[in-house]
Amino acid sequence: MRRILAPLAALTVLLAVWHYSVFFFSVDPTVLPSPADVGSALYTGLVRGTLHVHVLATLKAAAMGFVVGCCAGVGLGVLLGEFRVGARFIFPVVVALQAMPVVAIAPLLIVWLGIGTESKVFLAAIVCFFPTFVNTFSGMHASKSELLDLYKAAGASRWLTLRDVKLPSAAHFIFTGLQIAVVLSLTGCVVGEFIAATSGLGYVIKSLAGQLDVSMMFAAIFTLSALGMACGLLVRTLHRAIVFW
Amino acid sequence: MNRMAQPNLWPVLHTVDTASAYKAGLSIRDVSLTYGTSRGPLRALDNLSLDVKPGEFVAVLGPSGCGKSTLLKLVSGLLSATEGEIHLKGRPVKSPRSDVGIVFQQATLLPWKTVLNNVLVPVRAMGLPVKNYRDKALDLLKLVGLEAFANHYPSELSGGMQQRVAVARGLIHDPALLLMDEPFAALDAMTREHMMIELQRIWASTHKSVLFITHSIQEAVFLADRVLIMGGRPGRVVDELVVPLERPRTVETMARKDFNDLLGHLRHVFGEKSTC
Ligand SMILES: Nc1ncnc2c1ncn2[C@@H]1O[C@H](COP(=O)(O)OP(=O)(O)OP(=O)(O)O)[C@@H](O)[C@H]1O
Ligand SMILES: [Mg+2]
Repeated sequence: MRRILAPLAALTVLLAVWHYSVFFFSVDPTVLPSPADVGSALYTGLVRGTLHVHVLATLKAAAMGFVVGCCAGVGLGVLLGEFRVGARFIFPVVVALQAMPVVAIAPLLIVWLGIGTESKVFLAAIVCFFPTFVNTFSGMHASKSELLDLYKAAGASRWLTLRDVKLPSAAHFIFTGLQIAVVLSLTGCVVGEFIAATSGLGYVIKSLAGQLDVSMMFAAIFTLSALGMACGLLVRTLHRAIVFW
Repeated sequence: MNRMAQPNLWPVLHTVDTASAYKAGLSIRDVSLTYGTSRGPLRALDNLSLDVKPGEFVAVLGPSGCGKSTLLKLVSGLLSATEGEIHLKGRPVKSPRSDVGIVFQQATLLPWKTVLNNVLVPVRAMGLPVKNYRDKALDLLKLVGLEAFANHYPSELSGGMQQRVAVARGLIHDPALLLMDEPFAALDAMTREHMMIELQRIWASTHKSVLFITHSIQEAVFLADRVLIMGGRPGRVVDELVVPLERPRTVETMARKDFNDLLGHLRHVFGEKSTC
């Protein structure tokens, strides 16, 4: 009960402060709209449904990027964790790539992939790849040596050791990576939509900036953060259910 | 044996019938092992020889860092000796073998598998049909008093119970030799005593050869037919004691004078010869 009440109280206070500052200082609504304006924009967007297409577009692209990026990250992490010699060559390259700000390559994607879903899926996939890869890779070294000895002493195959010991030992790390990735997938997707898209919440935010419809921009931003929290919760729930030990 | 009679307290230097040990039990001849470390080679074992006859319970007693675990890894085939030879049932040990069971210092159960499936791990790892061993696993769980916990996860068990699961796991594929690396070191004194009595009972009912590594003098004397004392840097056997106490040994045994005299003797030997 307290876990719900405390944040709710904080939120109420925040809304009150927001409302009264806008009211007392008569802030220009094209700079900062009142909570009521944002509320009505949210109503129009989500209940009447003008934002539905865009929510779906963003969710779909983020989910596709998440799946692609995480599969690649987990796959390469497991592969390099298993074949350490290969890791010595590839790991530094991956780390160097990670240092590159992803936003910087976004315009390049327009050139390569054009305007549309592919660009934003690609961006989401890239940002998902790194945290899952790094976490999976370190998770592959987290197996207790006694467990590995146990399997080795019984003459277990490499594949069985991977399945029975290494992957379950890495599971906790992998999910930590997924947890980071799921929020980043939305970020990557929105960045893609700023630059190279004709739909999605990022696209909405960018176009509304031109029309000075700040209330609807806020509505889109709040929708995004709600989506982020919901996806994070989903991954956390899966984490607890699968890594039960 | 008359309990009042003065037992033979002094070490009987064991004359091993080399030929028969070589054929049936475990025989380790002049084994040395050198680790390559970042600070150069480290000689962990030096010309170590020992034998375990079929059905015999041998304890290896030594201070920390003297190479006990290294010895056990050699016998289990996880490491190969730099020099010397190890034979089990007449065949050289060069890589992991299916006629050896291992119980590690920590219980090392897989937390994501049930107790029953943990007991079945060696069977699974050896590629044997797991189904055929389920009844055997349940029998072993009964032997260690945990049949009611077959479908529990390790986290739901106490440390002592987990260690008993590990003992059952070491026995599942019916190995000729059971290797135990300080299996009770992490347990409290009460549980440890209980486990010692349990292990003696299990050993008596399964007729395995056991190589039991420990740094507890009491454990060694209580359990073993023969105690080998190791000294370190590099590790080797420095002395040997045949334990003349009759079986089954009980809690009362531990209170007896002859038992405690043996402990005292070993402490003395330790102080003199086994520096690590
Ligand atoms: N993998 C390794 N690489 C290098 N040196 C090692 C390795 N394993 C053990 N050693 C060294 O070999 C020596 C013996 O180690 P070992 O683990 O066999 O001791 P131990 O008798 O089992 O000690 P403890 O009672 O503390 O478990 C130690 O000096 C240790 O530093
Ligand atoms: Mg050890």
